Amino acid sequence: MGRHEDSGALSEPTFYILLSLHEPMHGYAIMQNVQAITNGRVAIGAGTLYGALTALAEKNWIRALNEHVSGRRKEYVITEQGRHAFSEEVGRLSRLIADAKAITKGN
Amino acid sequence: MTTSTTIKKSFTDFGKEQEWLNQMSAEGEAFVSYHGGTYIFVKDEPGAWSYAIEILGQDRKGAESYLSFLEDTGIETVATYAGRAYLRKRNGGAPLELHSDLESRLSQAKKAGAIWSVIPLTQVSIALFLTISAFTEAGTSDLAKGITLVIGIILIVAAIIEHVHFGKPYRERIKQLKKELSIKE
Repeated sequence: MGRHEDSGALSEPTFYILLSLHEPMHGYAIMQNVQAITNGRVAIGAGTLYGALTALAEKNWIRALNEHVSGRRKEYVITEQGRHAFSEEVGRLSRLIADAKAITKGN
Repeated sequence: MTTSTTIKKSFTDFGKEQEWLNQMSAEGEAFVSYHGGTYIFVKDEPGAWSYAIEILGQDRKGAESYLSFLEDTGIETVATYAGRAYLRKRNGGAPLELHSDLESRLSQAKKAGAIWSVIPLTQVSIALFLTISAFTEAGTSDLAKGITLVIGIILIVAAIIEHVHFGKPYRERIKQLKKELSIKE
């Protein structure tokens, strides 16, 4: 995710993973949720999801809820730090859209 | 009784190997076991399973945690062998895409292609070690020196062929992904 950190932008999978994790969810549920909220436009592969969850947990943007409970799927939820980063990204995207509309006059 | 088919085959390109496993599945031969170039298939509904090969790398604990995560998403591990995992899922005929973003695909292509740098480098090191030892150790006969030199040359030529020829599809894939990554996520 280094490239995105440099540019300040979140990748599309990361954006939707963080959005999904505003409620606790396990990996498979995240994949299904992202497909549902994007009407199938964004399908996150399990490999991509694992890499993103690992990186997001390392950055403390998300945390595992039932890490030590064996036999249960690990659930994740967004942290305060993650909420802050996500809200910054939403602000950045809004400015991007506003810039585009100002020049293209909404076309 | 389930009858199985055993096929011995070798691949230098994991992409081709994955394609073949999916082709076999489409023909009703579901891949169920692998060991050292031996593939075992059982009869199943054509296209019932979609297969993918994943390069796991050297981190064993990380690999276990990854495979367990995949299992939670309905992806079965058919076999693990020499740092790679053979995976499958009942996916309604759709390909099993583990990596949906370019960065993740690039990282996987780099891991997969690394083998055709690591093996040739090891061969070149062995060739150099053998040749230097033969020519610097006192009392080595001219015949032994000659044989060692020939073995060294064979190893180096093989290493060059492997790196240039077998590594080519991976380098092309990496180049293509980098090009795409420069314009989009």
